[in-house]
Amino acid sequence: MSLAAETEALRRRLGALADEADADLERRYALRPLPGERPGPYRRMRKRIGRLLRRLGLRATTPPEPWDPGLKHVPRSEAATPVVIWALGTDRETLRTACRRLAAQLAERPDLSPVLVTDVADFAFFSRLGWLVEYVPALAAPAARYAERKQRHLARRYAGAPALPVSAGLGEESRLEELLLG
Amino acid sequence: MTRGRGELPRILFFNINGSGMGHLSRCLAYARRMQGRARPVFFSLASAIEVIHDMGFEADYFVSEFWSRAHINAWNRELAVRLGLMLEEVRPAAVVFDGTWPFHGFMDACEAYGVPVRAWSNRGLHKPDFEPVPVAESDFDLVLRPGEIGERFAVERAERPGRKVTIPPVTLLRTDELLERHAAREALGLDHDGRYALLSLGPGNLKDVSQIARDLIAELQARGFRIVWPLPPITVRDVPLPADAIPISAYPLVRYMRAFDVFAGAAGYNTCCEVLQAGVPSLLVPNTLVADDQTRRAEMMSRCAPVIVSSCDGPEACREAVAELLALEGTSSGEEPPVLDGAERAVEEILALVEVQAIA
Repeated sequence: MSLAAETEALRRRLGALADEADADLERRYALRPLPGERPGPYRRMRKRIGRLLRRLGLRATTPPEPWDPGLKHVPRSEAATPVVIWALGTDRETLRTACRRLAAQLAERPDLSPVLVTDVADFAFFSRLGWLVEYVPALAAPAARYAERKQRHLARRYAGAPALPVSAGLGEESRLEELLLG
Repeated sequence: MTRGRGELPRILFFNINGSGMGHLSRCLAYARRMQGRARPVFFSLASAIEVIHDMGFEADYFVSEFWSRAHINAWNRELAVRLGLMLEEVRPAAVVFDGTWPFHGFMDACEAYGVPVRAWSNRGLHKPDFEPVPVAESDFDLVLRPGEIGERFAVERAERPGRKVTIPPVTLLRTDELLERHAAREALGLDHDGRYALLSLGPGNLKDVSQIARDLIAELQARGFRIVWPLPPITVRDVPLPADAIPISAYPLVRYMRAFDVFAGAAGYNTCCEVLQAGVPSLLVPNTLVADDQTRRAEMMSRCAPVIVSSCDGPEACREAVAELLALEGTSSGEEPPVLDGAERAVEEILALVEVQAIA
């Protein structure tokens, strides 16, 4: 299979995983407001009016802060967008080779925040890459479904971001731009 | 202690990512002492997942708020979802949080899932300007306060929730697990008759240690030492080392510490416990950028172990500190070895609560 076809197949698979994700998980584990001091009457009235206006559609609801996959210690542009490197089932040495090559290419793209999805625990190496790592461990029973559920959650979390198979870092020639556009 | 169908109770450890690996090491210390009686699983914000696996435990990783560029609300939201997912699958009998400030996302995920027993391992000795944490100890069934050198087990509050105990210092390894000098040198591939100094000034993620490292290396090399520099697994940028320094990847470092004639390092909780265990003459360089009062801890250490304390700010300070350090070689504090069974005590406390909960 060509790299382009492999990338296309990966993106289709991630789309399917995202569709199968537990959509209720975020509702079950939604944050509750932090207990604070009871506001005074004026503030309470303003809050009530604000809620009413939003219910009537006369005031926009502030969207929650988006998930940012960037790392503080890695200089990238503020508006960097994620690029997912999906690397499950790859051995350590192959993964290192692919990461090194991709890192060299992505170093020229500060507008992208790489997210490595992996089941290899090679974090001493990963820490020095400057990428966000999403680890997918295999856990023993009763948590045997954990890896599967986490993959679905990650596919949903990064839906819309370009995804690359690990083999994108193993080819002879650099085709990163082409794959990212594809 | 077993549950239905002979299963051991699962204990989920949640360790934050501090300036070093102290929180993770403390959780590993508890987990090791639980083996055979419970099944520890980790949810780690420190990225050194391979060291958890190497010790035989399962683990997942989530980027820490300290590293993540996400807004703190977005980070807490995602944390709650990730932890919730793990709780639903692992179904732990207890969750142990090790860190200074239990996160909003952590507390809410535990609440939403209905974690049966919650414990908070909260090391003290904060700097005087440390702001109180707005999380009530009564939100936990058990609060463990890992003690400093010389502290003994004490129940500070007996009632639950919020039972609070001080435990003696917590060490990752038992003292009898440390290698003796020759065996440790053999394991690290060092000459048996060389003069070696171990420098472990922290991962350098929070404090730039490169200048102190340069000054200390120059001073120790001038006095005939070969420098060994551990590469912490959580470092994001390695300190440039002179060509003749020997980098090593070894965890836990304390296992090999007796290989060295002298040690120089930061005064974090675990390092201080390890210096005490290994008995190697040590120079402690307190990190003043962290929440705990490392200067105070280092001074306490100097009263009961062969330890010199210095900020090492500049070549002159390093020269003086190294001279004092070398004067300690071959000396002994003469004190009785302090009690270091905090991890064992913590495990008894955690498992007793799990048992009570299981019966209830």
